[in-house]
Amino acid sequence: MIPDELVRHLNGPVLAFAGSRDRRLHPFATITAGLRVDAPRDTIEFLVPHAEGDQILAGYRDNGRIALTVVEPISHATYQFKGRFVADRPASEDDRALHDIFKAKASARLESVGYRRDMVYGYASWPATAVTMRVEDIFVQTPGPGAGKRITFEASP
Amino acid sequence: MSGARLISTGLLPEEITPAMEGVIPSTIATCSLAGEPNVTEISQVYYVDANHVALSHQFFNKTHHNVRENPFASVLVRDPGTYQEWILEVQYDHSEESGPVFDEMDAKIEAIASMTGMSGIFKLRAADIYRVLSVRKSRSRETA
Repeated sequence: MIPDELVRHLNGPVLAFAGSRDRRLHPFATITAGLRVDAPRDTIEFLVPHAEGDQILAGYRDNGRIALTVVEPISHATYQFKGRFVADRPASEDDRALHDIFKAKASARLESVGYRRDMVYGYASWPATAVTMRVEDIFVQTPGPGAGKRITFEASP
Repeated sequence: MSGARLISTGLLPEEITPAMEGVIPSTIATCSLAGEPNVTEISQVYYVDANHVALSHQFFNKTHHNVRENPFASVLVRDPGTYQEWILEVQYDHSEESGPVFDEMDAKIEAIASMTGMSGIFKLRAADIYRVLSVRKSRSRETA
């Protein structure tokens, strides 16, 4: 089960980056906007914007490996979730609400320290595809001596 | 990739240089030989010359480890004035633990650390030098 502390992190004002790779083992990443956690099932659903989503989605469907890095942009608290692709589907109107809330929280956080509104709202993050991943590993990436530490959690059956 | 608009190949345009000042953190994606992608924020991507960048090696040993077994990486850098995002495909070349590039990056990283309240936490271990394979503007910022 994904720990409560990390569920709060995922639901907070954060920026998130999805990573994938192709058959040549060339990696790539893009920003995502919208996270939905199902802690008891160890799954996270995230929205991959179509603007830079082609390679990301092709990689997931081909090899199933996912990296998702979630950053609180002011405190720098950062966690990376690694796991496998479960499914994807076109984002729905419910997802649009999730997307809009995600951007509103992130933008308010960044505007509080002087970034302009278009820092977040300038991203073409809609339309999007909703991707579900099953989390297998979680790593601390907050800058400092604890960076890289694996977080132990009891995986759901 | 469909629809990609290549600005140049292995040649960094001048307009990308503000995105390499370290004002907004950059993002690097790497991949292990076992095929596991890894995504990390880094505090600075340093312009070395029109074909090379240096990335700060500070904490994240997975990135450091990955590029030594699979040198290909993708880097997202962001202009602090326009917020334009650029995507660089790069190939790890070598690491420098002293010399002019290291010294300049070290000084900049200390400045970035003091601006972001991370003084004493950011410490440059090495300047990892990468060859730029391609660079283009991210479509994520073009239609907003």
